Amino acid sequence: MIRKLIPHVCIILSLFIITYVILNEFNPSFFSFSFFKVTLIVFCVASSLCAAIMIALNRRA
Amino acid sequence: MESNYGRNVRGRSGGYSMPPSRNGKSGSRGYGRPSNKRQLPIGLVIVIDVVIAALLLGLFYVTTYMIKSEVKPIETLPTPSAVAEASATVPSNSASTSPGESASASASPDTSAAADPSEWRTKFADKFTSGDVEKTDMSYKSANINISIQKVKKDNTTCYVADIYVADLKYFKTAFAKKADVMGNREMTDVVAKENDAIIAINGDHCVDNEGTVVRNGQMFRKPKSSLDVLVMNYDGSMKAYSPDDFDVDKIVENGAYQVWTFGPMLLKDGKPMTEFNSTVTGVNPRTAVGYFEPGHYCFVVAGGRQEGYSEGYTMEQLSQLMSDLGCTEAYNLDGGRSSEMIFMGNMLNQQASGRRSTTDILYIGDK
Repeated sequence: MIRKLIPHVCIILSLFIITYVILNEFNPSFFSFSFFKVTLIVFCVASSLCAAIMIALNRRA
Repeated sequence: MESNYGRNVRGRSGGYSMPPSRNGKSGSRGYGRPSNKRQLPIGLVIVIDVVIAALLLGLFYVTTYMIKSEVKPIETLPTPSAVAEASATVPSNSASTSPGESASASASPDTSAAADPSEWRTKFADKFTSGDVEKTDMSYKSANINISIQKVKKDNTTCYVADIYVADLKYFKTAFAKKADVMGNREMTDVVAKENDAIIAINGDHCVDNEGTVVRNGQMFRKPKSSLDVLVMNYDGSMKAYSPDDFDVDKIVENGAYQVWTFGPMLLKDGKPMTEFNSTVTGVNPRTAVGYFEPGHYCFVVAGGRQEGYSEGYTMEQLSQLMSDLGCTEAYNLDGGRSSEMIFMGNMLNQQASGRRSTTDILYIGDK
């Protein structure tokens, strides 16, 4: 289940972060908000998990 | 012939050494088995992800910015008289402190009555009238307040500098949008100024959407400090900017403070201009700043920006230099960009090229 969800979480969070980066151009204090940091950390964890799963699958293939 | 993929993946279900099942097919839960379940096209899956992301962002926007979240004051901070009474009841031996303790105390907000606000009227007597009100487009003079505004053109930027004298601290005020006793509303700066009969007003620190300590008119609305610099206005009329490391919020609770703003950064260090700031927004922008000369004497500065040929805006370094050139001993940057506005007698002095933004709070001078 996690393996199926993680790529989608990565896509959604990456879109979040792209939106924040665009907003930060107009409101430069955006990066200092805690919700941005939380999103970034969750995205990092999710993308790391996704990458680990991909590596494992690639090794088996 | 069995494909390699099927064989490899089959190993997942029970380890690489797991033999094939009796019927020669991969394990019952193996990924190698062709699925009869119809899968969505990859493009559609990604579109669904994008839609989910958009919905979540919309939800975030609505909950953060559209649904009003009012914050009530969490406590009323002690006034200088209350602190004096409390200290009078403390045994005299507690007055002696070690050198380390005294150094620590000096970093905390000063609520001493060294500069008694009641003396300001005498000290700045030549700045006030005997009772009449004298008004022009760029000045205001009454028995309690003296405001003179200068339009300064410097570094391709047009800025408005309001030199302010008040006869009592009660004329230097802050207010939340909608004239509310709670933090959380938003209105245009000129509307908030009008609601509060402000003679001159500038936008505040946009405390609702920021983090960090918020004290307004002696009431604490948010206690935890953030990573931003802080400006404290004491009951003696003095102002002091603190870096997050130097700021002790418990001292504020203990000793009281009239106002605490969290936005920043501080613009002067020991009265000298700075080159490095506790901010990521140091480029050219419209700016709002408050400056402090001495108790009873302050300045509001608003610099326009994003208007090539008229007013490009200031970097933080340029703003710091300007505040130093004005002679301020403390200066602090407030919310800028589209929030930057100076309202004098109901009129907005600066121009906003990229549209205006509502604010949550203002700093203002009022005669009532």
